[in-house]
Amino acid sequence: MKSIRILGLASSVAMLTAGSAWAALIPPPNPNDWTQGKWELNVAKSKFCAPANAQEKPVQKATRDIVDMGWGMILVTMNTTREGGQPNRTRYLYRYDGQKYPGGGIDSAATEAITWKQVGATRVEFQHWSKDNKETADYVRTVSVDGQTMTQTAKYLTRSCNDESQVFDRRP
Amino acid sequence: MTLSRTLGAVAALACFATMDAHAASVKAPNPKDLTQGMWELNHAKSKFCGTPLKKSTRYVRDIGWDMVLVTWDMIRADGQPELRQYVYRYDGDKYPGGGIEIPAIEAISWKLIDPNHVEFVHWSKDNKKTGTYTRTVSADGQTLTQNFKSESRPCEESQVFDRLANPK
Repeated sequence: MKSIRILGLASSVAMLTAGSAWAALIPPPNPNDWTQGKWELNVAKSKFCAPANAQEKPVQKATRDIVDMGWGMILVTMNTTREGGQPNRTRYLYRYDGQKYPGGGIDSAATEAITWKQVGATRVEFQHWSKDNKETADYVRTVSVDGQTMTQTAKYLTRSCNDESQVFDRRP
Repeated sequence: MTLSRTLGAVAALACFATMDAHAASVKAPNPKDLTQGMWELNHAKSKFCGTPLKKSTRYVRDIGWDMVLVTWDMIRADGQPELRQYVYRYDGDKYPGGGIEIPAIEAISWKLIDPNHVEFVHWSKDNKKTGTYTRTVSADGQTLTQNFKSESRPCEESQVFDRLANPK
């Protein structure tokens, strides 16, 4: 009788835990492209290369809102706060069509271009290109099976570091 | 003597007037696309279909890799300010027409005819043409006229813009 009570309690706890976990899941806004949505950088789980600019302070907080604007055009609004600094907004846009899009953002003059490729609903690959058409970096974004985590890995072709990994948590 | 003085004064005035006109002209930032630059709506020279905006400026600039960004700063008829931005390439593809921060209900396809002429067409979500626009820049590069012909309304609009100095 006691063991039945314990089992009952354990199962209730398990159900509550599962219910809570399911309640916390945020569905991706676009089932065809899980990288879309609102993301926040998980600094503790991320690994960064030394910045190209030595004066650049480490990132303290970063968010990315990835939105479909219609007709296949995607807008990314990136807010980044570095240690001791103010939030800095960068916006860039692209299509998964292999064409080059300004990489510096639409609010400042672009020094690099980016080409974008969607490889399934949970994976996006993109390359950075210099003005003289040389590839400078190779990026991959992968969304976890539960849709709640996005990992962006980078390989810099012009720098010694090639194992940067930024982890983002999906937010409402 | 009086005639020569008068002629001299007229010539001097003409010279000043020419200098003034040249001093006032603003250089187009991109000789291959004269629609680029900063423009302000000239209400007096324009003809509107509906209620016009109280104020309208457009900053059209190349943001690299042939992508053009328009920053449209307006004060609506009700006095509310509004800022819209949209992007395009002259490649015949459809680009969201509503603006960067607003869900697009129409698309626009763009064509550069020559440095002084741009044509663009608005398309509904079900791929029907809803309006045709042309932008023509005057020979001196100082005036842009945007003509609009609606597919659904019997109205032809003509908005005239004066070139302003480009923002720093």
